[in-house]
Amino acid sequence: MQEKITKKQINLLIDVLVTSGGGKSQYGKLNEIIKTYTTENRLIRNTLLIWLDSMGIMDVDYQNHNNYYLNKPLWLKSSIKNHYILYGAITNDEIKELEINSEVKKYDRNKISYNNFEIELPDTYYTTNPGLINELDYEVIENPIFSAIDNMEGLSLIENKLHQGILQEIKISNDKQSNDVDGYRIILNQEQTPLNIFPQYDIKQFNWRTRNYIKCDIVKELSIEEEEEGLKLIKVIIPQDSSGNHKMYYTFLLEKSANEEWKFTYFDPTIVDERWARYLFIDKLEFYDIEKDFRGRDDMSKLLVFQNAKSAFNNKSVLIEQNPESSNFMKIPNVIRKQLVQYDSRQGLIAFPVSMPLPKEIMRYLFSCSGSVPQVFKNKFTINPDYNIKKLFSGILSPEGTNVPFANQKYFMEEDFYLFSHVPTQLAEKIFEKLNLDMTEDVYKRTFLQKI
Amino acid sequence: MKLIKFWNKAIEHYCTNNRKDTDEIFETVFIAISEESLEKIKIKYIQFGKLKPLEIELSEKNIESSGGTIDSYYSAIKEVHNDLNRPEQYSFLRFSILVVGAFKQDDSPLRNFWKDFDPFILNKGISTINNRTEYLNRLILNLSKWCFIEHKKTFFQLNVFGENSTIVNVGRIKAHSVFQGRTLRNIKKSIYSLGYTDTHSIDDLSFDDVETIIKNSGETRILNLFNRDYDAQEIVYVCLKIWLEKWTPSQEEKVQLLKGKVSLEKASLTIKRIWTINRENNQIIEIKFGFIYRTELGEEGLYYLNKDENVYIDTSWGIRLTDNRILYVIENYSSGINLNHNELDLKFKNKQIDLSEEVYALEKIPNRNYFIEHQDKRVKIIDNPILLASKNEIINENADYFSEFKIQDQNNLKYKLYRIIGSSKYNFLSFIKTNSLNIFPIGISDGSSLTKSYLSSFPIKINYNNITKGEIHVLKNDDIIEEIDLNENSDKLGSEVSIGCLPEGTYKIKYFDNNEYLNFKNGHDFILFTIVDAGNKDRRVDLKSEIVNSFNYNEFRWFKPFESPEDSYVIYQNNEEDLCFKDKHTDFYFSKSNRGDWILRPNKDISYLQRILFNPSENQLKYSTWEIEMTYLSTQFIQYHYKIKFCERPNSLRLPFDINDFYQKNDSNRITNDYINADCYYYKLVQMDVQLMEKYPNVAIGDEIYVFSNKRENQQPENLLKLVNQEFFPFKK
Repeated sequence: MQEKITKKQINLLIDVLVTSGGGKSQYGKLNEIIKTYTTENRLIRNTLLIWLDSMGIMDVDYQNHNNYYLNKPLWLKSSIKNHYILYGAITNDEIKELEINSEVKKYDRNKISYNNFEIELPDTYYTTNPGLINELDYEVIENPIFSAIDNMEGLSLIENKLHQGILQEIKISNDKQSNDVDGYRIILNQEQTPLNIFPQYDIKQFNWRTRNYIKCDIVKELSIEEEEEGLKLIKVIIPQDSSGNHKMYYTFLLEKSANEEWKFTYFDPTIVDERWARYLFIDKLEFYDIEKDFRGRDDMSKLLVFQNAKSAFNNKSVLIEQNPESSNFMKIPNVIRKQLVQYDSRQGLIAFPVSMPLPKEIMRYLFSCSGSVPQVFKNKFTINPDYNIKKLFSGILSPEGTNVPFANQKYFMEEDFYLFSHVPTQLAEKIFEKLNLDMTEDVYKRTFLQKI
Repeated sequence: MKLIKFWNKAIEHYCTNNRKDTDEIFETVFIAISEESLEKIKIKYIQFGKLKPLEIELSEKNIESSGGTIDSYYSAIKEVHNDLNRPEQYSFLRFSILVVGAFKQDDSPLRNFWKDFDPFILNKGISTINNRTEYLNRLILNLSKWCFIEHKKTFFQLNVFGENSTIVNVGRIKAHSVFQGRTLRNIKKSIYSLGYTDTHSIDDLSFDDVETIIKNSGETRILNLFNRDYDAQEIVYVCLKIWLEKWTPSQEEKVQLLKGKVSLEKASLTIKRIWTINRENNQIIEIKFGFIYRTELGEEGLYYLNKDENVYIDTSWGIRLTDNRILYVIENYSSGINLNHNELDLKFKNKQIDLSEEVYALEKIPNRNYFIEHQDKRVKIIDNPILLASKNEIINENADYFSEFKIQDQNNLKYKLYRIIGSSKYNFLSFIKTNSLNIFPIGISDGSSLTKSYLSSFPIKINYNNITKGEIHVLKNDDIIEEIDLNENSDKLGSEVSIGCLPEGTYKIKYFDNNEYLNFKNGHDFILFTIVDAGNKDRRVDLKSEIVNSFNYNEFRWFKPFESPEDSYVIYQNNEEDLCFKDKHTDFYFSKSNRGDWILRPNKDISYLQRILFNPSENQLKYSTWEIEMTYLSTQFIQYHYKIKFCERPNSLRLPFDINDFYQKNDSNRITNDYINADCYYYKLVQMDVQLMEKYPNVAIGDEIYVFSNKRENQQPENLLKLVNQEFFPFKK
């Protein structure tokens, strides 16, 4: 292990923040303390903050890590029978009291580790009867918090709340002949606050294949033919001071229908967690079901994908061997979309890729089911998005069209997944519903752990 | 005034005072004096204004009677050389003749310095120095002390040759003669035009890079020196880095130096070999490759350097080495792969991946198991531990055996690792241990500036950099409470030790070696720090309560209700003959000082700016000599150009202040003052283009504006104007 944050350090961090805020500064010194634990590594810092937030210890503002709130602890009913977890930020003094109380037990394996770092997170204290714990006067919540998921907004509702408009082009050049665009102007809210973005800014677009934001040339990306369609999720990073330490992040979903202008949706961080944007983006990318095509079910054989694949085979696979030209506006096959969130109803397990964490409300619901941080496991059966999806089945199809059920191993890759336990079916159903993901019978009944 | 005194003072003034003709602050004192510069030195000192008219008259007379500026200088030297037993007297003058001599011998090797120097001064009738080493050591020691005590600066002592080298003294003299201000201007121009300022920090310029820069600068004297021999090359290389150490490249300077010519040149990044050495990893070294970049390459994400070969960097794993050096690891690197057509538009110099050398010098990255391989033959041990990786066994008292490791995927290849603890030579490598003592505490500061003051609730660590012997003592009220023996430092690679939580009080760190306490860089034999009470408040809130608003940029709207002060910053354009600051989104930040009174602190984030057209202060206006080009982009996206001058420093004004007029974020505020001090910055329009004159006919060259802000921008007052410029043309009436 290259880097490790120990439980003792985390407990101290929370204790210092609760009792003194880390100094006279109004917002405390969260960042400074984390820096004494780790080297300058955003992945570790962000992972730590995601989990302190998901565990209900603090509310973190992801725009500015100096803005956070620490939550008062309370006894919360989990999804396990007669099981209450202590949810919130606790001080070292309180830990001492909890440790000597025979009514209180603890789960001490809250740990997140992947790549070459390991973060130990605070223990979760639990009890079967919070009424018996008199010394610590914490509120008791008898209903699990995930009962509130009905009130939670889903993808489509969130989309409606966000500010939308038409992307305006900026042309600085005096040359009236030139059609070159120099930048774009976006109106951020009802108050008409404008944001100008230029290609020389730090602009990235979300790539569903790598599930990551990748640098892009915005003018090039948006210069497509009049009759073409497009869909991009982009993030613009603008430094707020000359040192570049304070940055603002703006997330936009850009959408263009044939013969229309580019439209934008602004993911205002005061309204919505950026992670919703990724799911909304995936949701908007229409998907096709390649499996069905190849299995020749129904009358799907008339579809374009099948014909393409078939002609590719007949033409000695030139098309198949090629890497996709653009990884952005490519339709997502259903098989990949299904892998975004998986649920095993028999064991009450839910899994999703580490690189695409669920929105913060959902993370909290999932944590509160059992009070334990998920395990990170390597799913060896993630379809490798670096390959053209058609390749997955290319090696095994015969010219007659008889299908062979399993694709070639080399087109799959290992991917880190978070795995939550004790997730009730009702909650899983709701999460799928909120994310507009299809919890079809396929997903529902399959025990995905069998594949591991 | 006696000539020797005059010249000694004049040289001291010239070499230690901040230059008005450049905007740099040199923390290192160079006595860069050639015969040609003597006239300038004389004039500058006379104009400085410290001498009385009578003294000036007398000095001028003395100079004239001894045959003019240059002759008077040499006669002063002649006089000090009459007594070579007291180098502590007139040290600046004494050292200067050595450098003047060095300037005269740009064409001969370092080793011949004395061979050429002695005839040169004998020729002037000046006696030669017999006991050179002792004379120079005492001279330099005195200069070092004086520069520190009097000027808070470090006298430059070149350390590249190591204490025992025969040419160490000559190197120390020669180093002072390499650069002068005007040479440096051309070097900077060259650095800008070659594109190094975008990608490289000064630390990361290699010998090749420096050669390219000097060639392009047209400074043939420096180039000849650089190409003469390895010793001279190294002096040029080290001195250049030191001259440029405090330099921050800026767009304004670039435009000014390149006279507006845009340079699209890209400098190549050197690929570095990184050894990952971890004892827990079954004695196997994994070799990685990477490069050091000047700034962050954006937020987390993957960037392909070659998509077909799957060569990429993951920027969320960037390792910050210093403020402007970030190490990025290249995944799947191989020397055969072309990386020069990449998403980031970077250029690279390829690196052979095979390990062909017998020995390598490796520098540890703090808190990591990563070691960066050194490119140079001479390796300075400054802050981080240095390891020597050798195929063969080494017996050397300055090399502590560490362990033996195999190289991953090359099982027959093994390297023995040694920690280098002192200056030594091995194979083609030589190690030079620098002697600056730097030990400091690490903790969570309580937020008070200027003092090292930490919270008692958070454990204190002590960083001791590369020190491998002696003891660190931590004292409270002069009682030793902790002794850390660095000789026993078992893992031999750390540079930090934790001493746990300390109770409230004042503490000292001292360093004990060879039965005495040694002096730190600051000139004292102790480092002071205080520990303050952590408090026992409960800052938690009920779950689901309102989250603190983040900082949002909003355009100012006149009737916007007053909600939360950090909600926005406000630019208020005031054309009235009256200051307007009550209830108009002004935000002052007070905090308790060490003495317990409430004082106004500078705001990091801006809360308000008020631009006014009349001068609210009676103080005289003093403008800096700089002129800055500005571009205003109108709402129709038309660019207008103009030039401004800005104030040297803001005027401070007392404004009436009634606490009841303001919303308070902190109930415990106990401010008793009925005024606050506010800074007023001012700017003058010195040039504008025709379009701008047409657009704003009532604005004229010479117009002045004033900006009030609670953000402190003493160093770069132009930054505030730039903010205004984003919103409206600042001189608009």
